Amino acid sequence: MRPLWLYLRSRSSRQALLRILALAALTWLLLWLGEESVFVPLLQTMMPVAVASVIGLSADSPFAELEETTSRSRVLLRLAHLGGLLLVAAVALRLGDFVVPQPGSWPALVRNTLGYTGLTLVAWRLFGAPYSWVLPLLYASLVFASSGAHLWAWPLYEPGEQEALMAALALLGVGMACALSPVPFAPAQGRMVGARIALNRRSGRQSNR
Amino acid sequence: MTVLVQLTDITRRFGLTEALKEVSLMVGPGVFGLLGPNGAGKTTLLRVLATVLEPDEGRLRLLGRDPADREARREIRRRLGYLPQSLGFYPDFTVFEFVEYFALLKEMAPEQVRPAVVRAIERVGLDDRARAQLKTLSGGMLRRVGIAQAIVNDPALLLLDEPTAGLDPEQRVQFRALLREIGAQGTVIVSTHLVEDVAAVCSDVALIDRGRIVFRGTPAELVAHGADEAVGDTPLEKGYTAVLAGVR
Amino acid sequence: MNGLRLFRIEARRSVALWLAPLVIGAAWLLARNDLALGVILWPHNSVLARDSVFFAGPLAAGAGAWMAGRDRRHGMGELLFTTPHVRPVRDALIWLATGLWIVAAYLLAGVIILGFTALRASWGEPVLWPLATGFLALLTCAALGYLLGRTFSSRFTAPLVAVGVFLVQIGVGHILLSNWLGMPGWLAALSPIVPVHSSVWYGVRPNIGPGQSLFFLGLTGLILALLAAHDVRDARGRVAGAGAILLPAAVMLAGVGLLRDVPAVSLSETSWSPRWSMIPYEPVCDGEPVAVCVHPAYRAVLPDLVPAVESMTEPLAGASGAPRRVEQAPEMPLNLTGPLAGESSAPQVIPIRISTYTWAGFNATYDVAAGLVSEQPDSRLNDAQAAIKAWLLRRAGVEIDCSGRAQVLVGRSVFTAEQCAAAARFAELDGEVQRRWFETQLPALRKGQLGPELLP
Repeated sequence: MRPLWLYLRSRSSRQALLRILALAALTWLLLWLGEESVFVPLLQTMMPVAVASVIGLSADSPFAELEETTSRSRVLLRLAHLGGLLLVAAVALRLGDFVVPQPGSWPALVRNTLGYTGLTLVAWRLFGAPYSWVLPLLYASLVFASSGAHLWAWPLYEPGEQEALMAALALLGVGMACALSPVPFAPAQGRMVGARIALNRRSGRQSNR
Repeated sequence: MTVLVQLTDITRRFGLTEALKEVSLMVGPGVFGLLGPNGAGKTTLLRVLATVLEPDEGRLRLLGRDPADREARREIRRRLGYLPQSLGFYPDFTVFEFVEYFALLKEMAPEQVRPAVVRAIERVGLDDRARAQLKTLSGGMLRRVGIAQAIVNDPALLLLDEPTAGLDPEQRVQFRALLREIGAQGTVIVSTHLVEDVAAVCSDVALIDRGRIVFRGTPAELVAHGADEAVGDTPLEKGYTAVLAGVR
Repeated sequence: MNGLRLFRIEARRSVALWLAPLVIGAAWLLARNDLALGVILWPHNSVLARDSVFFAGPLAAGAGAWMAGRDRRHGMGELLFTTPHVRPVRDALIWLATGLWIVAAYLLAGVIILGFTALRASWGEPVLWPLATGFLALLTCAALGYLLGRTFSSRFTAPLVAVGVFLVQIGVGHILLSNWLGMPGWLAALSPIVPVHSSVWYGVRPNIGPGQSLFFLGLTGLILALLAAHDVRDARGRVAGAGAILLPAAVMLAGVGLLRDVPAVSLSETSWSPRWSMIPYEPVCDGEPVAVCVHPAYRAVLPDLVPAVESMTEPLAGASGAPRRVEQAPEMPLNLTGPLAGESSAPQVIPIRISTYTWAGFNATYDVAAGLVSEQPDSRLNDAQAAIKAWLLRRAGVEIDCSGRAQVLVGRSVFTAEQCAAAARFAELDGEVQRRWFETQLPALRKGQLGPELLP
């Protein structure tokens, strides 16, 4: 447990947790205050982006290459960290439904959080922490502006739609695979997979992270 | 002697801890060494001199000015060079950009910035890496970039905290030559653990322990404190440990 | 000059530089459906060019927050503190370097949209104030993000600020319009993407450009003043700071004052006000014997519309009381009446409405068919009128619904099985028989005096 505890602390997990809980509470407060039909899809589309961004950014390592030089596998630690935050987010969003009943809202919120988290983790792995939240934000913006008729607008689908759930889970799967894969570069510095290595070989430079 | 740095009974506390206790010091042109064990107060003293921290008690004059006055403080900072112990940097900046950035922030005259940046980078031996991004540099190179930004404005007061950390022996020799060159025109205060650096370049040295100056003099005078039975591999180390043992 | 060089370094290394292409790409994705329509209208596309603030605003805010937290994240604080630079000036340069990339991308996207419009629009000129207010709003978003990033310098701040700005833009711009929590609807005009009326008849209305511009300018200035106040310690600085805050606050409140006069009901894409004066135009006509006249901006629909109208009016040619002219009326909301809302300006003129969001002639065809069989085309048709209308629509090649379900939209005709059967019987008649029938029965049909039993 000790390695997990230290790992969680190194990822500012407590800060992430507090923010997730605050976002969940804010979501339900706004749903309670908002009576308008346009409010519900707005919150269902965008609040999960905020939650997913917090989870994705907390995956960033403060140690850069130092962790990569150790022998212990961190796959389980990462899984416990990200999975734990996702579980907390799902439970917090579900609990809100008991306080402020909004039929059908919490399944959509949870589903969208899962999907956007996957998107955030993919973006984090490819582009680094500064840009990891941009991809889900842009995606959600385009979804919100669309008619919701196509599968790519799955966040707007009704909670019971299996296709939307599959799409969200698929994105989460891809994102988790990116986050858990032991690729030897530092996501914190945002370099594309392999690109930096290739660039350094071409220029003959010794890179020192 | 022209006194460029004058501290009188400077005290600085962090909570209940007195990091500096009634420190008095006068420093003129040349290279001045600051020695002391970990936690002695060297970095705190350097930060007070760099106008990062205000003293809780005492009087401070830097380059003939009182840094408590805002305009005077700004003028001091225009003529100040500082290399902190832990140097942060923007990874995407190039070496040139980083040094230029600080030259601009030090409000150097626009027409002087570019040649000064080029010269500073050459003086630390990084002219072939001027266009390299900082994230591609080794730790020692980053340290040299930090030195470059500290000297870009030809400072009248140069404060260096552990400047040779990460430098290889050849670079350390070059760096000492650089310090002697700068010390010929202004004041350089070097805080370091490496007594051989002090021995090589400093004309004057102070030893701090637990927030107090426990020795002030030349390196030769410090050596004289050491006896054969003192701990250390070099005469200066022996003098260092002997002084510390004497005050504890 | 040092400021300019600092700005160049900050701009070259700003995170916003890499967001700029995304802004352009997303703007194109949002606009491409509208730009592919058969009819391209300047007022509509002028507002479309503004609407990329929808996602550019949150990006600008997020980028500002990220740049503001940069010093703390990279441990640069102490080193920067020892330099003599004036902190508010550096803050302003970083804000500007961040915001201008997003603004440049937004303006480029706007130029592309307006340029495309210039190539294909057949009437009118661009309305630039929506684009201008969007520009100012983006600078405000970047400044707000920077202030929040300075205040809460955590790595989580950037995305939370971005999502927050998104919610506020939409929430303020749309939800407040419905008197949410009793808040006055004019507050919606504070959102840069508030819906406005855009049509070739009245332009872009209401003109909230001056009010919004003052508001965003003032708010940006206020935020920058608050940023500068972050580091003020001495009394003289506080006095100067108070003055620096008061001036932009006054500008902002002046903008709010202008916006308070805007009736909330006018902030809608389907709004209309009797105080708006119509922009004069000379209609463009084509077709014989019944002339089809449209607004010159809708010229592109004539090649499709004229044959459809001719196919419907040909059997009625020469009949007494047959309309002589089909003319486009302004698009009106269905629950408002106005001088031309569905009413003929003359007995023999059929008013039609053309929406750019359907096949250009589709709803116009319905209007023509209804206008041919009734003098009150927006009223409910009797069975005889409905049967002839169904027959006319089939002649024009329009698929009709014979299920008899309740109408969903006025003007979208659903016919009963009996009406469709009567239409089919009428269609089987010889053309000459049909023409003679119209010559004698058209006036009665149009007055609603014919029952279905009187159909041949």
